[in-house]
Amino acid sequence: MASLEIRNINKVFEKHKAVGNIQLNVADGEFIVLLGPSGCGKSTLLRMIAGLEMPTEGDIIIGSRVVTQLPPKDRDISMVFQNYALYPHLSVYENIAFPLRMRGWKGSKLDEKVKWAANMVEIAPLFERKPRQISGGQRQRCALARSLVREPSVFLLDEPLSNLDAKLRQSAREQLRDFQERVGLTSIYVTHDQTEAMALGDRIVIMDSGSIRQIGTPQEIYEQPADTFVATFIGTPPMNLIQGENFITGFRPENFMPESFFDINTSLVKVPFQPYRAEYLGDEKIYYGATRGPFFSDRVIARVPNTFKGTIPLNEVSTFAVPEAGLHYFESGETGKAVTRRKSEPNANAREH
Amino acid sequence: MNKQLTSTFSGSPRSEAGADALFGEGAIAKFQRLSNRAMIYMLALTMVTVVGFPLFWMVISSFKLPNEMYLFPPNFLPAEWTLQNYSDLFTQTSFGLYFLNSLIVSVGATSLSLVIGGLGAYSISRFRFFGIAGFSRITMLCYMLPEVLIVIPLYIYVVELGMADTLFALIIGNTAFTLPLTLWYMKSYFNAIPASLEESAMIDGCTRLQAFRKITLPLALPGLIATGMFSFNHAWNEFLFALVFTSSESNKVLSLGLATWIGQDNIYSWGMLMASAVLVAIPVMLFYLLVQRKLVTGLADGGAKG
Amino acid sequence: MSDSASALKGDRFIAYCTLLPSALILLLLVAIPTVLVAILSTQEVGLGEHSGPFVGLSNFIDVLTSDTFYRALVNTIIWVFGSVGLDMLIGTAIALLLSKTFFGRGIARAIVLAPYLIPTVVAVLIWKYMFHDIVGVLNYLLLKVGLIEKPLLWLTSANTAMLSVILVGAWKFFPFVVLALLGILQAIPQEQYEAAKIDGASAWQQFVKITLPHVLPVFLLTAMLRTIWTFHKFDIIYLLTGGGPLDSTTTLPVLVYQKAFVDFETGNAAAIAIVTGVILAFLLGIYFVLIKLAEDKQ
Repeated sequence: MASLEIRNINKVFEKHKAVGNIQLNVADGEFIVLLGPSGCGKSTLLRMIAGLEMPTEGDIIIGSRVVTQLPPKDRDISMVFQNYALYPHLSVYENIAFPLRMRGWKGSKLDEKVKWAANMVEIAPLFERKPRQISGGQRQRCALARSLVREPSVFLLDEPLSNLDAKLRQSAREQLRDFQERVGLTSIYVTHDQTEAMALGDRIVIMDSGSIRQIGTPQEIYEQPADTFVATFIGTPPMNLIQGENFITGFRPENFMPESFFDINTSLVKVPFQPYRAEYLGDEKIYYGATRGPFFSDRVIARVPNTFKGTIPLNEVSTFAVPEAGLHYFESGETGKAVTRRKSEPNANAREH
Repeated sequence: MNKQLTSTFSGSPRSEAGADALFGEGAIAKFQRLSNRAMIYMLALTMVTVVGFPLFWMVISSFKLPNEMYLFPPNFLPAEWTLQNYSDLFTQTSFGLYFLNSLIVSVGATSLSLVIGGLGAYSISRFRFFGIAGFSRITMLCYMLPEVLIVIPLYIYVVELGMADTLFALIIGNTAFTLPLTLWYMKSYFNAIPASLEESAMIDGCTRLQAFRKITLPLALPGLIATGMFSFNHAWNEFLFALVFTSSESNKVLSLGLATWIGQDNIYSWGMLMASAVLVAIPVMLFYLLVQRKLVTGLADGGAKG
Repeated sequence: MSDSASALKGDRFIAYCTLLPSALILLLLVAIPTVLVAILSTQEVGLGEHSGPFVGLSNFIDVLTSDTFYRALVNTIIWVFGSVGLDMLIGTAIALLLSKTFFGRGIARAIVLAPYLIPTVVAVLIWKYMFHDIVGVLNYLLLKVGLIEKPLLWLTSANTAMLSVILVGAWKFFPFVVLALLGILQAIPQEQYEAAKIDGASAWQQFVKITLPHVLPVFLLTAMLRTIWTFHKFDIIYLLTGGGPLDSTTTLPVLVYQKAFVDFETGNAAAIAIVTGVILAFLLGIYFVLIKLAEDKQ
């Protein structure tokens, strides 16, 4: 187990800058998630850590070794691919044993280690089978065992759950995190699914268009998004963003509710809200509508738990509110960086309709 | 969609109802199905007979006594089955030698084509460096060139390099001719083997070449066998290069040897000619039958996904 | 495309090294010879020599003004259209037949494939024997059935030689068409036919609306390939008739061979080979246009 440092990494393919200026420090045993939409560069970054791509600039340091120029086999890492990459012509046992055999391990020493790794994921009964003869979940466990068997310094995972059906994904996620905690591997996990990221990561690295937007714990990312991209990427439904004169104001749908719902003592900003559509989701209702008043917008989303007993009629204006503490402010324009608003500044809003 | 229910055989609704009453429900439909079936079987039988007849004739004639070959009207089955033609072939002619030469050339050209083409195809499939994709496309053009055109300058090469009348020249010539096909076919095959398997192997401790040897190659085996069969087939049947590059009796391959016999219009040895035809056709047919099975399993076994 | 192209250190070297032998062979044995032929076509090359003085386009002029060339051209056109036409016809019909399931289909398929697999020499041997004017079984059968009154001189008469050659060519190569078309026929999703049946389409309508659009591009492509290969075919004709009788079956490839290795007029032969290539390129152009039209119609 070791720490990982990514220093100044840049990768340019022909004319296209896939990844630019990446700095990241991962502590020993930490579970880091690289999160972002397709094409943001997260897989490229992972592959550079693995040694499958060479960075144009920068260094990768594992523990105290600079591994940037080393081939994958000398980096002491292991990786689980999206399609598991199990060797089809080898049995489950031989798949798991493969990394050890490549290092010259033999006999009982090899056998013990293979069994140890297999038992970690409870796949030992399937030793004699071939990959095509086992289920998707079992293949994933086989891939895990194979990655584990060498006890690498860093453990890399490239969207390993995206090939499982929804039901299986949930339990596989739990097993995965459980596995990682037990073994204590430093892990880098790539996904585009924010629920997965929030559930699994110690810290999340959000990427877009080749650069890092924010690094933080799930809580930090959710409650203090660094820019509008992070703010809208995390959270379903996404944060409402309203362009004002000088700033962008943002508030999350679950903070936008009928005035009467809030405790009397909360400092609120009242907002007239006229919903045109409601979705019933069992434990809550989601309203889509327009707002007037301090924030003008034609499309604002509100999440109201069904514990609220009042009625919210469609196509009529009700008084909703946002707690002041739930307001976020961002710069207008490209960056949309988060800013703190000074009380004296003109109120960030107000295109009169 | 057109609402007219006019199938080829259906009658009007009234007559169908009438037939139903007489013969039971759905009788007309059933009759149509049966007559369709019958027609298909008849056509199939005709086709097999017409196409297969020459082959049947070849095999049958090879077992006839020499004088039986000249009967008019001919016998359809040998009056007396005999293996004399076959034994004569080996004792009275250089057939055995021709067979050996063909084997040498075919095996040689196939091996070279597989090794050179296989490695090249791997490169084209996996790597994106400059010039590789372009090369791949140009290779396809080679397929459009006629043998007759290429053989002229190649003959000049062969003579100038002192390789005239050697089997070696034939091996090289046939390798060159089958190379584009090997490259194209194996490239497709390698493309179907996920690169992530090799990447996984490289992370697990292999160099790229080790990954190729331990992972890719075993999975590419069915494809190599198929390509090998094509190359072997081509070299075995190849005629023009043999005609131009070799001349002496000891270097003749089967296609050339047999051709010379035909040319001589040896009326008295049709039996041997038929026997030789059977023997020349057998390796290729055998190969094909054996490979057929392997071809089907193919990559159904392989692949890393679900 | 492979799913990802990794690029390790040292990969570049491996990439080029593994490609080198193929590139070398194709360069030396295909690319350069083609250029050589072009060069030879502009030279006057004497008996037993391998090059000669530059004579510009005079070889081409000789060729384009010679009767033998035009006769060979006509023969080639007849040969190609006859053989490919017959191929495609028979091949399509049999492919349609074999696409239906019936007992013994596997065996039928194997037998149908046989002509393609056996060596050309063998095919020629068999047919020569069957074509034999005195002892050939074909004459016997035709006489018996009463279709002819006296034995035909299949390969030995200038009137029937080309016909016979076309027949053998079609027999030998139609399985290729069967294979190609069977492939696409079996790839058409069954659901389309089922949906059409529900909509009340007749067998003919199903054929025109579903089968045809799928099959047409493959059909044209196969016809194009068959044309290229038939155009260039040398051995089957040479072995059957040597180009005779009376040059009735001398096609362009046969002519090239004769000029180069019998008459030793290498420069001329090269010129004919190049003209052949140009004519073929023209034919291919037509095919490409047809294929484009068929695909656009989809």
